[in-house]
Amino acid sequence: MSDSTSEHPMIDEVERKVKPPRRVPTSLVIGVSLVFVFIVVAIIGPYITPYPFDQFHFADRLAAPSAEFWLGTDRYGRDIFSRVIHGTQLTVTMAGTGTIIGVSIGLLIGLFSGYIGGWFDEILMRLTDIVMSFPALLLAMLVVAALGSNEINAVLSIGIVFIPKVARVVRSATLGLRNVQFVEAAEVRGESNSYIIFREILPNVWPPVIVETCIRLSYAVLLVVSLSYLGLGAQPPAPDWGLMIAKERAFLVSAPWVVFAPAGAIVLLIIAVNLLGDGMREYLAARKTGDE
Amino acid sequence: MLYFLIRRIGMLFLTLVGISAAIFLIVQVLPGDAVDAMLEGWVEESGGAYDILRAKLGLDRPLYVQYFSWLWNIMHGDLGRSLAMDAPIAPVLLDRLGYSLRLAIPALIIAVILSLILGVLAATRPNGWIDNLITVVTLTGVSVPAFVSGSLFIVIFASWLQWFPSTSSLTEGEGFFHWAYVLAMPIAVLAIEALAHLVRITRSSMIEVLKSPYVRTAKLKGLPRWRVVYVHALRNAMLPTVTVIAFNIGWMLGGVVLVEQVFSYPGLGSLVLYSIEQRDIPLLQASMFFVAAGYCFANLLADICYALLDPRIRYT
Repeated sequence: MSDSTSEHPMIDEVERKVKPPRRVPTSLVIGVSLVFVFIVVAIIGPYITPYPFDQFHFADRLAAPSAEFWLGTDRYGRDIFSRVIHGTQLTVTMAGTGTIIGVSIGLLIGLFSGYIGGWFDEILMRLTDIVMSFPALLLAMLVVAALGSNEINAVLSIGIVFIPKVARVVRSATLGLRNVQFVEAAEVRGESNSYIIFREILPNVWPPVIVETCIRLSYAVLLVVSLSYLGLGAQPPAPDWGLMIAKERAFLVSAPWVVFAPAGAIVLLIIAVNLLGDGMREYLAARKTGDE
Repeated sequence: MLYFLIRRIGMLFLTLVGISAAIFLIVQVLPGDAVDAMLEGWVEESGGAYDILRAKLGLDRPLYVQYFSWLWNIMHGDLGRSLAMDAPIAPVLLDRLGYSLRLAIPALIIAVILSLILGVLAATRPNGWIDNLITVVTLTGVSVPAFVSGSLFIVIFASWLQWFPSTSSLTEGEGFFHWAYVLAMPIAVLAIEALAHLVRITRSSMIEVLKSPYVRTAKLKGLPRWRVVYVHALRNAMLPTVTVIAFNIGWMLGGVVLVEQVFSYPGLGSLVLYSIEQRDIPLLQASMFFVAAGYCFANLLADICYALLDPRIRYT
């Protein structure tokens, strides 16, 4: 969000030319560190929690936060802190896998569609039009409804929702590279389509793809927790954040701590990924102007 | 303009056909068909009853015949019968649509008005304290899913402060103020969701526009500041906002589903969820088609607004 609105645009201009800004934006630093923390928690989380995520403490149902249960317990007396920590793994893996599926397939479609063009491009783009004319969450719901409610299908549905959007971004980046000299040179050399696409074009579309991946990742987290909130993702007794908020809805009034911890975890994760995305966009934009 | 409209509506029609085909195909993947769902647990052995019912519902016909008859019926306003409710779908859908619009439209209006005001406030003094505050708040806003903010709203405003009820069930015949009272929280949640996205766009496009030569000319002519900002600059700054509103309608529809769930509100979103839970295939198909079609119409409307706002675009 820095606009570098200095009073003298000329000075900005000169400075930019003299020393290309290699400065890493603060948001990127914070975003990367937070995401790193989440990944660490996702990996070691299950080994460090005070209780197993599904251990019942019937004597301490809906207990308020205390020294024994740091963030309180839910309606079965399960330790909420342990459940939230365990749930990190689930949410991070689901969002990550969904993004990877969507981005990798979308990347392939975008590259081929953009480079080959013609009727191939036309058909693929009309198909993406149709998929994109569904609101994201509703399309994901429809896919999960068709395949069945579980983690894997939720991940697949997120991948399907993302494919057309990523394909669009990659396609337009590819279109911009079609008539560049090094691509034309490769064509004149008689290289195959796949050589040109993967060795000449792909390395040059990485910056927009990386930015798009970060943006998709934050939507993926949103979709994962939303689907599980609606009962269309992980099923009980999984310690899923969205599911925890949904299942404890009846106790919002009497024991509000049941939602604070999962809600906080969700918001923190999305903020982390958003910062990562914003920072990455800023960083790559700065690098681009620095290169020229 | 007329040509643009005709072409755009033609495209819309084609897209709707594509959407209907997509929905039909996806739903076909569903394990078991409507008859299985209807007879589940009622009839033990497969055979007689299943076949008779399948023939009666026309499910024994080839897929493409089923699809075209479904499409034909939709075009004639017949959305079929819900299995779980055992009632025609169209009136239920319209009823629920009304409920959802009562949430979505006030939320959208509030969000648009506030986003213009806040966006302009932030843009007129970039990196001032108001701007930074708005940036932090909107960044948090876009990071909070509707069901999280909804749940927190219930804790704060229904449980602690006891200002509003925690569920938004409506009874017909109540006055406007009762409605406003019951719907205040869900509308606020939706409005905040949309607002957070819109403010960021309004702010950045306003900053761009304020740098342009015609704004400087207007200032140098000695026009009052408010006139320059709100009359000259805002009109152009609104253009990207309009596009983003259109994009946001999709997220807003998702938000409506979540908000309805949080506040146990009987709208379109909860109907879709109900049809999934009940494996009510005709209802699922019809409500999904309805929502997707509504989304397409909203996009068309946004395009038309864009053309009206920006005289440079003539779409010939």
